[in-house]
Amino acid sequence: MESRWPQDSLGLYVHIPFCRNKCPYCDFYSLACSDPAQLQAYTESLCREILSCPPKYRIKPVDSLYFGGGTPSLLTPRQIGTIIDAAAAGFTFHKEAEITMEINPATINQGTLKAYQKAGVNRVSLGLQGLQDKELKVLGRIHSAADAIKAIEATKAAGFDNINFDLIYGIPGQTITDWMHCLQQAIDYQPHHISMYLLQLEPQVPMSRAIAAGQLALPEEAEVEAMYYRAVDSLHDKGLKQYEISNFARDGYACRHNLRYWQFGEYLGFGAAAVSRLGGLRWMNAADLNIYMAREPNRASSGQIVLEDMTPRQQALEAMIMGLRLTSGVNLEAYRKRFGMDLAQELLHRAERFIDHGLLETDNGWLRLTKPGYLLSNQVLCCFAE
Amino acid sequence: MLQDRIRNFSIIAHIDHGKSTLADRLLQVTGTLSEREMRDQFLDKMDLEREKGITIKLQPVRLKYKARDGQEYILNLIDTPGHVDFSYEVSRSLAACEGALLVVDASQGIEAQTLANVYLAMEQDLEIIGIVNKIDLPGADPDRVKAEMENVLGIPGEEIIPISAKTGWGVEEVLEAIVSRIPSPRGDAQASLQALIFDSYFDPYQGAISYIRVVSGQIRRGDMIKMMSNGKVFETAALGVISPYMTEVESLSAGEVGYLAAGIKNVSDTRVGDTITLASRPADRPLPGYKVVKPMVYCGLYPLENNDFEKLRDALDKLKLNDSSLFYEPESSDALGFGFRCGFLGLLHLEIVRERLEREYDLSLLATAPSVVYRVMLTDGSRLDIQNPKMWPPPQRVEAVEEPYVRASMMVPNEFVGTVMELCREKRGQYVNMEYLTPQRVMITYKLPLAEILYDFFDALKSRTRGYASLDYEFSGYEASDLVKLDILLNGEVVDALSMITHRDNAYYRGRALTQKLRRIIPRQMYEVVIQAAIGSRVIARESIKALRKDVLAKCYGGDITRKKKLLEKQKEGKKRMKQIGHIEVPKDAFMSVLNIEKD
Repeated sequence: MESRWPQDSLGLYVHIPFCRNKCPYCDFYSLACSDPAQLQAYTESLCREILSCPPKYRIKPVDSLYFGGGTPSLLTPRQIGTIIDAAAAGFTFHKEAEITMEINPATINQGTLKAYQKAGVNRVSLGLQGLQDKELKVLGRIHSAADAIKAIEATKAAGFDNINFDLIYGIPGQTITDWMHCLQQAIDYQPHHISMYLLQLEPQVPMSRAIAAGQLALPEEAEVEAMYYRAVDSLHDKGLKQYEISNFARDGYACRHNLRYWQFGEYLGFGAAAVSRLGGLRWMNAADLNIYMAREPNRASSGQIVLEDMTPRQQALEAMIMGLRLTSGVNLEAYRKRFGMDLAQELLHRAERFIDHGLLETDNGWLRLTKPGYLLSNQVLCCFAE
Repeated sequence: MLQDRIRNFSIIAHIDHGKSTLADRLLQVTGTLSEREMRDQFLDKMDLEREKGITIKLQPVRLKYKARDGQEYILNLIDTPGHVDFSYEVSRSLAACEGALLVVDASQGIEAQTLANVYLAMEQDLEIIGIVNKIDLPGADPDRVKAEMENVLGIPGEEIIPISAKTGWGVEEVLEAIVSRIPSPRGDAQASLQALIFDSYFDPYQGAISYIRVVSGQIRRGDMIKMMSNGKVFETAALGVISPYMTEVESLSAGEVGYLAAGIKNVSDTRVGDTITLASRPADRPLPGYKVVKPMVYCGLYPLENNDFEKLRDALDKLKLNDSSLFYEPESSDALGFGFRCGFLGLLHLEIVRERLEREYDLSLLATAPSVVYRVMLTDGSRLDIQNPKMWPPPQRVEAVEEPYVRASMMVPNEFVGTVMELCREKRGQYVNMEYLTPQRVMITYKLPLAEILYDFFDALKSRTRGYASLDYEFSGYEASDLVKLDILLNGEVVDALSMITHRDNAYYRGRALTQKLRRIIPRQMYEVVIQAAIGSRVIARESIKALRKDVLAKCYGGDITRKKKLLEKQKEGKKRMKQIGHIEVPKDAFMSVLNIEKD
């Protein structure tokens, strides 16, 4: 893993806040929509936002572009192409920039996938979530297990050679056998990357209410723990190495865009509810489609809110908290250089008791979580919070 | 100032019977405060008092009143606290007065505590003006309450003044009664100075400020004064009255009430109850002081941050100045580090001191469970006074144990007599007496172990009588008891700060209840936590808290970082309320939980 900070480049994030249906576990900003006119209007609005981005933000070259959502694959290849072209016109792209698109298995076929690729997408993140109908149904997904498999095959057939599968575990009713079976099936399709997320519910989402009402029950904690660590081992054996708490990749296939978040890199977000960070400032576009669309063309900032205006110290703490999510951890020499000796010492002092407890370790100038530390990482990371 | 135009009085009332409201109204009706300046509970200076709706500290104030006889009078109101813990403070303020207003709620009637305070006032020969308050409320029954006051206290019904302090109705009558019925002070202004310190507090700029009542003689600004207890001499830098803001005056004469500042930096040099005299012409003898009250309840106070120990010592020194009943000495605990063993008049006193330390001195404190003082007779014939369970000798050295008992008076409606007697029996009480004050209201007297009162007696009394019972108690003496020390172990280690003394018959029950309670309030840790209760080496209860297996943010990407960081910050805040004992994080409330294990 690289030890330098990705300070000399920029990542772009494009948020597509539309879904066919809202999933009962999701708390992201998205709207149920399948109106082509609205999607077209949104695409145009996005392009305007990208092109009106102030020149001072465009100095650094871009080495990743990420379409997230919502469901970006509700946009047509032409619309995706238009947005990529706008970004390329507004910013300087690295030759080998990573351009990722999240794909919902129910929304595509081999033809559209090929067209996305032609439009410039070179990495696909398939939102499989599961490979069994029982679990997909509990999750309220619009696709079936058969759709998921079709989508995998179509993606491969379209010629993508950088594919991620998103999987969820800890689903109500799921056993460790179910999960390991699902994971094995996924591995068999030889993806380049797997993100496996523990199902974590915000209290306001519908599934939380169903659990509170006793209609659904989450697996026991001990079982969830086993699901996680057995999956970690299994993925490792198949050459998908863990590089972050929830992310695994073959050598050279870590997601560059997401690495940027964990390595405290800078990024600009476009679209409703998209978040940007430059320096100490983190801000968010209006999390309301109407306000976003109605923003004044010459005032790109209308509807934006500042989430944080971080002091150097706050930035340093964030860099530590995010950096420790990576299995490589934080390079202490680089950290000292960037944030100063004193702060590094203070944080190392805070780290001591976790090193004693075996949740953190230092190794060759790196500070990192141990394997038992991953699933208990909040216990550690909160001590580096402000 | 002519002495016969001065009236010094205090107000005696049960909590919620309207004392602070009446004080507010007196300030307003006499024009001492303008409408603009008026706010509720004006004389309750502490935020804490306003929040709890109780009076902790007496706050003297001087009112000017033009009476119906055409003369202008100076009325010094010395407010008093109304809780059982503070009868000591009540007697302090009464000593500075010639009269007292007794305020009784027109629907509640006399309460146990009121009675105790009226007896205090009668002992000091104060003129008592009976007042029935809240007559505007729907449930008011002023005639019944008047009859009660007549029967129980011998105050003639026709002399009792019905009022509504809330609306101001009848307040003029109260002022007239103060003027016509309370005697003026009788001190000789030409005699040598005798001034009683009835309260003091610490001001960062002026040093100690003392509230004084001049009993005889006169004091002027610039006078060299002498503290009669230790002979120390100071120069009077400022004299004044509170009306209701501090207003400087040149002198204070016999009969007057005011404040004094003399650049006194050492807290112990202005002891409440001491007599001030002039260095140049000292009085022959001091005024009768106050009897030194002994703390009834002890607990350990520990700073959550270990390096705040000195800050805590300093804060206690300053609080002690206007709270002479507070006792403290350094102690250390294996679990909690360095702190102070503190003695209090009662539980409310403890709670108030702790809150004041936290608020006014910006400390974060951990309080251990309160304990009474036990007398332990050892097999070698010697005796130990133990106010910290940690010091309890090993069982084989204990010959016999005595614990403090109180004489508790409970005033209850007659339908609750059975309930209250049952409760007293449960709490190891011994029946003393029962007296019908009126056909509906009964005064029940029991002897009870003070330790039981500390646990949950008052809460149980209130809930079982639907809030109707009131309680007063006074120390009655030590009695033999079969007591044992109950230890709590976390992962095999005794946590000294959680040890408690309990009656042998209750030990099993309390041990079980406490381990269960701790299991609920100690958060899950990174490894299993075993909680045991033991008497000596015998474990009598065991619970365990399973290890935490997952505490992770599965997803953390660009759009979400701010929110996720906030979650971590919140989690960190939560940890700040924990005390690290060995490897275990224990919430600071846990140490008080020993107290109310029966509640849930």
